[in-house]
Amino acid sequence: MNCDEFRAAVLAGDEDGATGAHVDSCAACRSQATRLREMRDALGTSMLWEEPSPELGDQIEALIASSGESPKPRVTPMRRWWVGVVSVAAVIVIVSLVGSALAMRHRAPDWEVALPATDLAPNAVATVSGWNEDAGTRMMLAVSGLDPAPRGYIYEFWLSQGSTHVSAGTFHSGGHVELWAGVRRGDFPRMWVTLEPLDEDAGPSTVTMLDTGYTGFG
Amino acid sequence: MLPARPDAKEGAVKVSTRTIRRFSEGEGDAVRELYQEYGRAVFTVAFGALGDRGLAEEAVQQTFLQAWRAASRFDPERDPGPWLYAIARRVAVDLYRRERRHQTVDEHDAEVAVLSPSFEGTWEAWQVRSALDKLTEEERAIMRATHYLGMTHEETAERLGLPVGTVKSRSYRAHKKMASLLGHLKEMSA
Repeated sequence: MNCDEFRAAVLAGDEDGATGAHVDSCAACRSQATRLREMRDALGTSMLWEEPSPELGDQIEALIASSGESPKPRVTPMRRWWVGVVSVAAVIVIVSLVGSALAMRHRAPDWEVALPATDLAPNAVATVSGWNEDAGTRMMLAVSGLDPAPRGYIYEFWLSQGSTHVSAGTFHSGGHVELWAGVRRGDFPRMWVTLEPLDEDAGPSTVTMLDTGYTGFG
Repeated sequence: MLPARPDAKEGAVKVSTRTIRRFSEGEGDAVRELYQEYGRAVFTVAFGALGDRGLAEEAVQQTFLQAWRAASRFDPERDPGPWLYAIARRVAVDLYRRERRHQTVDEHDAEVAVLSPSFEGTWEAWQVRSALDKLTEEERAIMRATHYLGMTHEETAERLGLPVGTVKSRSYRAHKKMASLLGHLKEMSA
């Protein structure tokens, strides 16, 4: 008796000496014997022989048709593959950017200089830390003792070379101020802060609060 | 993970990969083909769990409707049987809970107590019913007579108007086919 014959005999309820001998010598059939007997018992239950109504198939077709629904367009395995690749690439890019940004934030500055106060802000103490980036210069101004800008005015931070002035940002009171300028620090050695009226004039005013002069290049 | 489609295995899956693909792409004609292949197995699971023909048929309808809605997510290279079984079982559980909520609990009337559903062994029932559906009509009639009606070969021969020898040979062939179809059950249901 082979395994197929053994299984058929157990399912049929024809177990005898031959099936006993086979199961004694066959571990695979021994492991299946109990389940096969359970199936044989199941074959005697009504649930396996109960038939659905003949019209059930039509009802299902009608139900689906009347639902007005259709499966969403299938995403093919190839497209899924691309979606997966693009998703992974996007995650890598985002993680890289975030990681770079975090790393950049925690990177030691490339330079630090004091930003001396003028007579207009006698109590101000300011330093500027800078990072030379591919996109320009990122700076962190730390300033204390500077009164908040009066209503209608703001402070503006400049980098200059001769009569060329590049704004790195505005603020209205002291503290830590993050600044960006799209130029290289080495090309624009002067850093200074002016008080600017909120008007249409894009250039620096004559009211200077903090100023390295051209000797502040550190 | 669903088992891969055992296309090469004799009788394991009748419905073609093309049908499954058409179903997963939302072609209505494929619903009928899928129902013809799996409808009775779905009904068996639902009826075994709920014990009521009406509820079981409702469960079959809901199963195929839900399968239709989710068809785009189904991989046509896979055997749809385990997927449909999982939907059918979940639908049956939902229907059971719905019926239980609607049932008035009257502690003075034991008749209204809802019986616990019988979800144990529904996967095996699915497998056995699927295997039965792969037999010929003649073979299935003999299986029904001997197992469900408890008839001997002689009684079966008389009932079906066949020689006893024919009944025995068909019975042997049917059981061998069933054994072959169910031989993988141990691994699949583990």
